[in-house]
Amino acid sequence: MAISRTVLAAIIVVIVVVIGVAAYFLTLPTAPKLRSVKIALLYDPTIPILKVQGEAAKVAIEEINAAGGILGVKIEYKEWNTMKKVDVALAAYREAVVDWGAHYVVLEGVSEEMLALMEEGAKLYPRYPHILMYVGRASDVTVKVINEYDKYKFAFRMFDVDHDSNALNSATIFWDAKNVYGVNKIAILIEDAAWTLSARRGLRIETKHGVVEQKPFREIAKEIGLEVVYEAHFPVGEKNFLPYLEAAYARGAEYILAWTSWYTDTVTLAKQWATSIARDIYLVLAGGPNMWTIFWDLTGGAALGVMSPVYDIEDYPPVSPYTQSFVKKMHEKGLRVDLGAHYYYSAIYHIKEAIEYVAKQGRDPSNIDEVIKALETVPCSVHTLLPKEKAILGSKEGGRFHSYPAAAIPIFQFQGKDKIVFVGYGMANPYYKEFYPEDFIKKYFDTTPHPPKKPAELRGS
Amino acid sequence: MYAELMLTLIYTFLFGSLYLGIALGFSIITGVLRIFYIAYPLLFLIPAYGTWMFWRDFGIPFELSIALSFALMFAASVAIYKFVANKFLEAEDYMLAALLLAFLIVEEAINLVYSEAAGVYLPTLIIPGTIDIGPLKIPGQYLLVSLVSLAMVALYVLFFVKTKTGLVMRAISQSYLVSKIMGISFDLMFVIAMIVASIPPGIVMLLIAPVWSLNPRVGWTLFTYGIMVAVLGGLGNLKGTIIAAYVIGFVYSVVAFAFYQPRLSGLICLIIVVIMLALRPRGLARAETVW
Repeated sequence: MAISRTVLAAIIVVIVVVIGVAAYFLTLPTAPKLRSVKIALLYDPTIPILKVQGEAAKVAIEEINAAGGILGVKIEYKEWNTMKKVDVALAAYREAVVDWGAHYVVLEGVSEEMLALMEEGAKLYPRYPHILMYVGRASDVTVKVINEYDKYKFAFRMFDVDHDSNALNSATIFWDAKNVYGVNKIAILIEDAAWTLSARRGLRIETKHGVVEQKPFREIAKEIGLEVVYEAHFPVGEKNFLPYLEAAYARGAEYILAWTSWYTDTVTLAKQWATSIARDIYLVLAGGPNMWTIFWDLTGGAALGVMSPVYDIEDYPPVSPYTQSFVKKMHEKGLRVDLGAHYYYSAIYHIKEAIEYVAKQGRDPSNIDEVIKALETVPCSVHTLLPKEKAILGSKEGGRFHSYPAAAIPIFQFQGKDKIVFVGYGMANPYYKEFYPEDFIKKYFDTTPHPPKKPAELRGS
Repeated sequence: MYAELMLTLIYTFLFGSLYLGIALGFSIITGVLRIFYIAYPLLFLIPAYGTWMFWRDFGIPFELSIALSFALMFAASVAIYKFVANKFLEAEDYMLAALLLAFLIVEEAINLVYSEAAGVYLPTLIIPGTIDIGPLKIPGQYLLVSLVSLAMVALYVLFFVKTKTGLVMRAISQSYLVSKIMGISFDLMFVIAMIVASIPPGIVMLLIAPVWSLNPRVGWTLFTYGIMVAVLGGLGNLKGTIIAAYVIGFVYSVVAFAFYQPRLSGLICLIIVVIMLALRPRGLARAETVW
């Protein structure tokens, strides 16, 4: 059978086109695949609050692995006991990065350790690229990253920086004190630690991203219309709060803000407040075991009337779909949840989203430099406490680069055993409005003010 | 000014008596056995956590749990004497290390089972709120601890002065060698001293639990107050311990209430102790005996 020249030409053209197309696709570079994800967890499991940080990260890892891992790759993790010592943490860090080949190192929230590990990490990074992250407060961590980016770009604080949080948190709390609790005269007690420097003295830091300034608490309170009748700074580890409480009472304070962290024994503070002359004065605490619902038990009920952020509530306002399930999972493991636990859990998800973003861009998700850039770009969409638009690490404003912006913290009052009630006025508080989406505030913080009950009233009931 | 003066005096009494209650048992052990009993923090921990264990874990009534926890503490004191202190009576450095280890083992075990997150508390609040004394309102539970501490001191002084056992203990404390020649049964006396001395810290711990946090590290914290008082008073002498407790209580209160500097109270107390020791190296009492 004779084939016409036209048909023959057409067949040849088709064959050439098919071969050409096939050759084009065959020679295209394939998208790099994620080889492995190794996360080293460095924490002291004998200290309850540090153990919780490691466990929170593990909950996230287990969830991600159960859902198929990151880009189909299961996360490998290994734990090291730091014994909460800088030298031990350093040795663990080297072993994790050099011997085990960790890509991500999640360190417990101890700033002294973070600062030491950053120095070591700067030497290790060129040969062993990895990311070092922790949840803690020390302005120095952020300032170092801003001012010497090439050296410290691998370091992230998966938390808000102290000068940022001190300013926003105090303003949020003072606004409620003035406008919802109806007080005028306040006493401020501040833990005398490095992280409260800006709260005590104010702050001015010059960085490559500009000047960072923060007013001391007394000035922030004054601007909101409060009269600070007493201010004292108590030492870390203080056990005798009676002199401070007596002084606050003597000066006519109607409200006491104790700016505390885990370094302060807030259980003793609450117990002494409840049996002191100041027990009818509102008491607001910041960090410490008061962030747990079992603070009530720890104080034997002396917490009645105490106000505090409480992150351990199973029906905590669900900033993300993961917020409440995370708290429940921790409780099922017999663990309590504080602020840090939420951030450690969310940090693992932020890593996941950054890696996935790199892959989506067609770049190598195993390349740590790419993941660093992605962390600076991609928000954590499932952060348990921060709305997506706030869960960013790349902002160059306010001296918070490689840190999250500060969060407006909801305050709750212990009104009885298992009765922990939101107090404040989310809808009207300008700091809430700035932070949370409006529909979220309406739904979870209501549109009417929720003043706290007076301690004497609670005792009477 | 009047209010500051009143506050200073009242809190001198409250803090001084509290420190006295904390240091009492330590002074007795140091005075009679002539050892630096570094396992003393256990005497705060065992009654507190023992009570919690019997009460909450075994479901035993609270009052009975307290009694059982004290029995446990007596047993622990005797065991520590028999198996640790007694073995190293002639080698003080080894004894210190062994006692410290004994304490650390128990503290870590408690931390493992009842970490801070376990929510341990003791419902021993007897006087809630404040008590009016003139124009002042004083924390009732603190006042109770102070009065109980004073009562315990009075009882122990009577014990040492009026009972035969107390006399023997004073003799041992005065001269170990002469007492030995006189045929005193050291083993029995030391065991009794250990048991007797373990009661005050246990009672103080139960009573201050409503105004002080309860965690596995609380024993060591309280012990540091005890050491400060006992060293200033003169190790192992009750008269010195009493004076030192109120000296420290006074200094603390003056700085906190008269000068409004509570932040400096602890530091100034330590400086005063160091100065006093430089002037009187063997403490305020300068005595060799327990009383």
